[in-house]
Amino acid sequence: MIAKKICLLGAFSVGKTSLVRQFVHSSFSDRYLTTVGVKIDKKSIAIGEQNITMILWDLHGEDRLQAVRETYLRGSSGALLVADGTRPETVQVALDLEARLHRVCGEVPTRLLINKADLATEWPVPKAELPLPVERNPLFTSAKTGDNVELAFLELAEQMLGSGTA
Amino acid sequence: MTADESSLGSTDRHPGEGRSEIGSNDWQRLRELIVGEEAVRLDQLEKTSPPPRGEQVAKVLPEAVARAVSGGPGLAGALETTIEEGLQRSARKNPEALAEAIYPALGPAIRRMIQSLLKDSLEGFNTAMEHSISPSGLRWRIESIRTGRPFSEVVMLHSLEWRVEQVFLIHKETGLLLQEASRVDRAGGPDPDLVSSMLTAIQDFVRDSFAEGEEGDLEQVELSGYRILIAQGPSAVLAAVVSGAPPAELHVELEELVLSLHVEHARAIEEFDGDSMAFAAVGPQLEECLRSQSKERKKSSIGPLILGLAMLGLLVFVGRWWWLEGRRDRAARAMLEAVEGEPGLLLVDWERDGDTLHLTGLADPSARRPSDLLASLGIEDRLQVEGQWRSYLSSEEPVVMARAIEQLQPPQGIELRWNKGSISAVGEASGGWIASARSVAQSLTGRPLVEDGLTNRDAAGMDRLIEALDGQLLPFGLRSTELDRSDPVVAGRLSALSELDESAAAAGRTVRVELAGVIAEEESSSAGLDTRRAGAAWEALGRLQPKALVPIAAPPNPAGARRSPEPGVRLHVRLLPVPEGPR
Repeated sequence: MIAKKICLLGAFSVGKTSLVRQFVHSSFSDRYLTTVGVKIDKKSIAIGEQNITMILWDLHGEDRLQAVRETYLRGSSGALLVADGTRPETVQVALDLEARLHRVCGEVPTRLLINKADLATEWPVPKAELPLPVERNPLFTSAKTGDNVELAFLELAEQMLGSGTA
Repeated sequence: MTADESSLGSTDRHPGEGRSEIGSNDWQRLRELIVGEEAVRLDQLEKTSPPPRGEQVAKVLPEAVARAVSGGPGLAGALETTIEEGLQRSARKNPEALAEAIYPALGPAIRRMIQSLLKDSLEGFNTAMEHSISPSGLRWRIESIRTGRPFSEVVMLHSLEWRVEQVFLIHKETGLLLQEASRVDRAGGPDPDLVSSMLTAIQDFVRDSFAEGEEGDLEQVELSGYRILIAQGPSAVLAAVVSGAPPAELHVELEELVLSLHVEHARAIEEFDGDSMAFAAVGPQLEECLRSQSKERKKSSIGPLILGLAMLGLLVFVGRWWWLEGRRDRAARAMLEAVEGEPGLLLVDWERDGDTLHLTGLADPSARRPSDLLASLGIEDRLQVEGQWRSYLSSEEPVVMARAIEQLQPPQGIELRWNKGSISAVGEASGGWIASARSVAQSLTGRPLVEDGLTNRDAAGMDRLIEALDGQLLPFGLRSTELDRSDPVVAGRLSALSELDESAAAAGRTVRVELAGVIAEEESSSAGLDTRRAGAAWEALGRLQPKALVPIAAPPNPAGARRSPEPGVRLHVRLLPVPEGPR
C-alpha cells in the first residue's frame, strides 16, 4: 500500500470541497478549512494491482483575504487544479497555484479540472474558448452530478504512479 | 624498482654469481631478453609521472572519500581515532572556537532541555501546592520525613499518572504516516493517516502563524485529559498521544527516539515515496513507547499488602457495622410493629439512634409496658427502648378486659369475657363480687354486665336465711319496748338479717320483712306494746341500712294484740318476685 499526499488547489468557491465530498466520506468538519486553512480526507483506490491511499489536502481557496499556505504544499505528490467554469478567471488562479506547487515540490503531476460542468449552459464563454494554454486538456467535472469526479482522481493517481514521483 | 637500481643491480647485487659463472655482459643481455620491454616502459613512466603532490591528492580526495563512504563503514572506522584526537586537541587548544562551532547544533537542544526541566519543576511545584493540605498530602509528608526525600519529590512520585495511548511516526515533508502504534483499547479511534496529516497541517499552521524559524516547532498540544507530545526530528516527527500528566522526561525520551530512528533508518526516511512498508521494523520500537505510569507501580512491594490489609480491615469493619446496623434495624422494625399492634399503645413518633429506639405516644395504664414488649420479642440484647408516654384510656377490647380483670380480681370459677362491647361473666361467684362486677362493667363499657351463665353462689344461702328467719321472734324484755341489741338472740338475728340483705342485694332480689309486735300473756294489751315493739324493730332494721330488705310493720290485728308465750316482734320474711324488665 502506497500513500500519496494530494492537494486540491483552486480559487475560492470553485467547488474543491464539494469534489472531495463526492469522492470520499469526510471525517473532519469543513470548519477546518476556514480556521486552519486545510481539511484532510483519505481515499484508497486501486490502480491495476497497486493500491494507493490518497491523502487529500483540501486547501482553503485562494482569495483576496487568504492565500494558500505554501507549507501546506510541501511533500505533495500531485494536485488537482480546480477552476470554476462559471468564472473563467479562476482558470488562471489554478494555473498560478500550479506554478507555486511546482516551485515548492518540483514537477509533480497535476490534473486541471473545470468544475460546475452541470452549469455549462450558463458559462460566460464556451468550453473551447476558456483562457487555457493549448496543450492543457482539462477534465470537465461536476461536483453536483458527480460527473468525471472519480475519473479525475483516478487519472491523477495513474499519473503519479506512472511518473514515480514522490 | 627504478631503472638506476636495476642497472646497479646487474653489477652489484650478484657479483659472485656473475663473475664466477656468467659474464656481466651476458647478465645484461639475459636481463634485456626477459624484461626488456617492461624496463623501457618503466623508464618512460618514471620520466612522465613525478611523485604525487598535495594538490593532486586534494583533487582526488573528495571523490575517494565519497567512494569509500558508499563502499561501507571502513573509512569512518579508519578516521574515527584521528577525528577524535583532532577534536580533543582543538578543545584543549582553543575551546571557544569549538564551542562556537557546535553552538548552533547544541544551543537549541540545551535550551529545550532546560525548558523541559523548568516545566517539570513547575509541574511538581503545582502538584505539591495542590496536595499540601489534602489527606494524601499529610500522608506524603510523613513519607517524606520517613524516607528523607524532599516533599516535592514524594508528591511527584505519587501524583504522576499517565499513559501513552498512541504513537505516530510522521514523515515531516508529506505528513504521511510512516508507522503507528496504539493500545488495543484505542482501536476504532480516528484514522491514523488522517491524524498524521492533520497534525502536520496544524504544526505548519502554528509555525507559520506564530513562530519564526525552526525553533518555533510545536512541541505539545493539550486537550482535556490528553496531551500530544511532539518530538521533532530533521525529516520525521514522533507524536505521542498521552492521557494524564506525563513527566517531562517522556518528551526527552521521544526526542531521543526520533533522533535514533533517523540514524537507523536514514536512507528509508530520505527515500520515502509513500510506501510505509519500509518502516514496519519501527513498529516494535514505537510499541515500547506505549508505556504508562500509575501511582501503584511507584509504591514499594509492602505497600499493596498494607493497602490490602487496610482494605480488608475496612471491609470487615464496614461489614460488621452493616450487619449490626441491619440487625438493629430489623429489631427496631419488629419493635415498632409490635408497638403499633399492641392494644393500649398509640405510637405518635419514633426515632432510632444507634441501638436506642426513642418512642413517643399515648399509653393506657393497663396496656403492656414497651419494655415488656421488647422482652417478649426476645430482642432486648439488640435494642434499648426509651419512651415518652402520655396516659390515655383505651377502649380497645383487650385493654378494657385487662382493666376489668385488674379491678375485679375475678375469683376462681369466674371467667370474664368480651361480648360485643360488653363484659360478660361466666361461672359462680358471690353476690358481693357480682354486685361489684356489675358496677365495674357499667363504668368500663357503659353497658351492664352480661350475666348469662353467671350463678350467684349466695342465692342458696339467701333461701336458707329466709327459712331460718321467717316466723322467728326478736325477743323483748317483759313490758319493755326497747330492743336489747346485746341480747345474743337479738344480735344473731340482726346479723342474719344483715347477711340476708347482702345476699339479696347481690342477687338483685328484694326481701320483704314484715314486723309484727307480740305481747306475752301476762302483759296488758292496752298499753300498745305490740306496735311500739314493731316500731323499735323497724328502727333497728333501718340502722342496718338495708339495700334489699324492705321492713314493714304488720297491719294491726283486728282481734286485738297478738299474744305469744314470749314478748317480742315476730318476723315474716318473704322473697319478693323478680320484677319484669331488664336487670
